[in-house]
Amino acid sequence: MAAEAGNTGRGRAPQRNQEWVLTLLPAFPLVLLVMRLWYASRQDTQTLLLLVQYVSPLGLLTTVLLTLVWVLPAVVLAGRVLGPLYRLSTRRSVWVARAADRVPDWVVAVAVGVGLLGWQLRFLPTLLMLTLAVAGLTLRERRPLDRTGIRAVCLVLPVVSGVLVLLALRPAITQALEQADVSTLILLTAPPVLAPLVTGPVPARAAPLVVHGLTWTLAVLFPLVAGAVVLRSPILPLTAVEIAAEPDGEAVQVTVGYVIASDDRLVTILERSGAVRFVRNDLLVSQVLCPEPGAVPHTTVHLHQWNVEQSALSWLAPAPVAIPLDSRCEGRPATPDDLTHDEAAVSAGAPEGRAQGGRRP
Amino acid sequence: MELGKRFGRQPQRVRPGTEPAAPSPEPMPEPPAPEAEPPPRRRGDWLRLYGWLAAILAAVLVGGWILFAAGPPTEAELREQARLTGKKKLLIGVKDDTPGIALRDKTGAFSGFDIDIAYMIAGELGFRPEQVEFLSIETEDRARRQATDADGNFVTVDLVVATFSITPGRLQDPSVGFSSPYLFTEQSVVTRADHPRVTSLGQLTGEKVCTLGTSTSEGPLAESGAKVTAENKISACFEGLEGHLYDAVSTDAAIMAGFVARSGGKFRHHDIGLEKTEMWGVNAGTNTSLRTLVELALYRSYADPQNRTWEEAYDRHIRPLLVANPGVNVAQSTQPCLKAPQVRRWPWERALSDDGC
Repeated sequence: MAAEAGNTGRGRAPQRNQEWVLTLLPAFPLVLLVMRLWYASRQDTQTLLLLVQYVSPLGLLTTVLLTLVWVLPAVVLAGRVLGPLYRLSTRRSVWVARAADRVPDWVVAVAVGVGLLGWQLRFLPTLLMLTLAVAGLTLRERRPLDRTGIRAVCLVLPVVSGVLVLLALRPAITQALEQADVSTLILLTAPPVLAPLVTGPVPARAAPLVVHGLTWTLAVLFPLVAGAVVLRSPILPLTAVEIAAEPDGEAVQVTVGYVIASDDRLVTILERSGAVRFVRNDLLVSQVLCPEPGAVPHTTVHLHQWNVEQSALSWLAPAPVAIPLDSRCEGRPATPDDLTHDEAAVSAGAPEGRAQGGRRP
Repeated sequence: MELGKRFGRQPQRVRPGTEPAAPSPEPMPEPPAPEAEPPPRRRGDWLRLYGWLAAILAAVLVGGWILFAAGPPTEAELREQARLTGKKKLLIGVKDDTPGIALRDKTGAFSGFDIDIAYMIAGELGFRPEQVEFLSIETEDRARRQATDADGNFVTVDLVVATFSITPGRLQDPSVGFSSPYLFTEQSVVTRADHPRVTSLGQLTGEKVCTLGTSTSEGPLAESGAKVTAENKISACFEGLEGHLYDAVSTDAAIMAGFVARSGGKFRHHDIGLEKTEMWGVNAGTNTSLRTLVELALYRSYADPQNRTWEEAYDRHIRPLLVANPGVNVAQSTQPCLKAPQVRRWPWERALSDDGC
């Protein structure tokens, strides 16, 4: 009893002390956002202050949220696999296991659903393997005497689902073999094959090494990967602006950059080289939104026209339209082919039109 | 949660009864972690450990591959590397005196097969026709990419599309960067209409033959024993032929066909049966990214069945010449085959068929 009471005290006190860690959680996205702006300003403090003054926080949050969409299922599933794995293997508890206990089952289900929608197709077999591992380990912990249930969930279900997944992915696997695409091949074939092996405990001597090693590696890797993705994502729209030498004149220069702010007199442009320009409104001839080069997939492996580097969401969403590239986005003044009907009217030399356009903020 | 409290509260030795056999004697000499499991269970544990290690190894392999095997560059990256972004005009060196291939008229406008091919390539590089400038280039300057502008100054051009044949000797030159060929033709001979039929270069021994300097025709002619004069411009050769300064002109059939068609019967075109095919290519110099983009443009024209630019250029400029040049294969009527260049493209662009050359 006394030992129980002592253990209870030891068990409860760390939980109370750890709650302050939760207040640090929002700091990570904030740090990412500030670093993103610092990256965009090319480490120049003055440019950073200008960006902070004008850039909308919603634009910044968008990229962070989009990144978190695929990081969160990975974190939740990894915690719910590694914690019970350690506890089943060594009969001891560890902080990962205690943290994983607080995550209710419905959160895990939601995380799996989000992963199904947001993860690329080539990572879905890994998602399946992690889900089966979570199911198997949780069942072993909660109902250790249920031999038939354990055998069904930890052995039969992974084998059957692995075979089904391999059959369903057969076209993509053969394509990856033909093209010698090592990473896609491993990602599509290894998880269904290894799924029956990760649904139970490992030897007690090896468990600390495996679990602690994986935990700390992932704890370091996840913020790094998320940070790298956020730092490279665009936060401002890329536009090409034609600038004339004198008011209402011909366009002599094209600047490709980001429009930070515009008022009734000046427009602030952050060029791609990092320089900031303030251009008078009556010197602007035309403006066009340029597409970011975009993420062209590295592999050509596809499953029934669904490229393995696409997630389910982007496959179901309307496909992007392939628009011909505008001369202005390449840094050249516009030709009549580039200008739309109403743009041509403005820059063809109608002074009333341009004066009105200049005075409008 | 209950599980955590249960495990944290109870002493280590008492476990929920998973295995009814062997409750107290511990075979493993480890007090904190008793392993009283029967051997089959232990084998399963070790198998699972190997499974975990295999999964970790696979994850490391995949991570390394994704990070370090980036694959070929995209078209946008190639344009940046080729320094095409921000370039106001694309300078292309072309001939200016070859009817049917590249001819400049009195207004200064260029027309011909080479011009159409140059516009097609420039369009794929992102340059509209108004953003392309053609400059006259002479035969010996094609490898150096030195063309002359209207004032006579020498200008380095970005591309040379000027009946430039691909030869092993020119391929050895490090400053010359050939694309895949865009036209196949052959060497032939043009004489005045009263000349007897010429079937091989040996029949021109002792005659005054004109050809283009540093062209591929110069070597075989010199070997045949004719008196060879090398001119800088082919129009000078034909003026000499008309003025009886030369007895014959010999160079690529596609270059001479336009002159024969224009002459109204004064010249006669002979097929001399040389086996060697003249392959015309685009010279992009040392700019390898630009060369890859030119390859991509030519490949799109070849592989996309809806892209008829090459065929239309042939029909517009070379097909009308065939009537006046009977018996001579002026130029092969299909675009030369080429393989897909190493460029990372969108999935819908990769749907172009690759016939395999």
